[in-house]
Amino acid sequence: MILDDRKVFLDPFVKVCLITMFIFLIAIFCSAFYMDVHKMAGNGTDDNVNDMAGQVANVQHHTLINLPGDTQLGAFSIANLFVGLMVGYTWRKIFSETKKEDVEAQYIQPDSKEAKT
Amino acid sequence: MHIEDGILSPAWWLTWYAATAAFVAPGLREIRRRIQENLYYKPFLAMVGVAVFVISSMHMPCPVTGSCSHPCGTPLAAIIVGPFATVIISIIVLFFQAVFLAHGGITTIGANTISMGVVGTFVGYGLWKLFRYFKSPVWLAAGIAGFIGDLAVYLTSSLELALNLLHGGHLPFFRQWMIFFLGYGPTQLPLAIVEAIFTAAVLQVMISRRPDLIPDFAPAKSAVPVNPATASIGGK
Repeated sequence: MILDDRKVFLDPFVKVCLITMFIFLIAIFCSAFYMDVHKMAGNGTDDNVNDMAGQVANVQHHTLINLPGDTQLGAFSIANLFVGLMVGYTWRKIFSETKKEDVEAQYIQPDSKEAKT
Repeated sequence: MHIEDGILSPAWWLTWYAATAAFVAPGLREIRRRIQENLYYKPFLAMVGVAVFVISSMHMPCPVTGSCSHPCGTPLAAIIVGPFATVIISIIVLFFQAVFLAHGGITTIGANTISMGVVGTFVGYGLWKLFRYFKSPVWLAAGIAGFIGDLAVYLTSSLELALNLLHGGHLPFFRQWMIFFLGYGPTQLPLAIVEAIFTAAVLQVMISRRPDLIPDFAPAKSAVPVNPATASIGGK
């Protein structure tokens, strides 16, 4: 099964991932285009409400560290790279490499010999 | 819902820290119990933790309002890893987001945990249990949990901001609360729909692939878990 997977350039899982990713990216691009045409800022809602709360309370809000310009993009990319690796690794461990009998072996039915002993 | 440092007064952020602390011990107990029940729980919890981290920092644009916001992921996490364990996940997630991604704040981890990790979690989990009790289909129960759980997070964040102005604000408390919520609401509504679809889809996949990981769908309710000390997993 693993050998068969290696022969395939894009297996079904990768295809589903790519299609889902492109659906999201196209939706984001279309939204961004609309917002750009209509001169919308596209700020985060959290930031907007934080600004509003800061003005009403007459205080300055701030993050622990500021990530100016592309550093925010870099931080998010690095975080998401490793998140992706970790999710992929554990996903494979939990969903792909687990046989049905391994899952069932975790449970002993109450009427079975093991449960009675 | 990522309230930043400097907005909440010390009295309020300490209050929210104290409220969050009350959930830590039950959260650790739930994790310990679930590890005993299912040997796959540990890697599963790790996977859900990093998934909540990325979901709650994934900004999606809303062209109607011209701003961006993010789903929360905690209603889904509550259903699959347990509500108290989700509170622990939320604390860790919010800490890393505050320290490394300039999202939220250190003094506001308590307040942000109460909104995202406690209210979003327990509202979502409660609705899931309620709908499942009445034999609702998985997609509907999960969708409602995701949708209402998401909005509940932002309703709570608005409440926290309004409570901060309880003494010294110029507007009546309820009006101030609704003004803050309207700051979030229009952008969050379509994202709550996205969260509902996402929650329903992930749960459907999980129940079909690994029902043993979801407490309500485990092989047999009366089954006795094997002693972890003697059980072997996947021949590893």
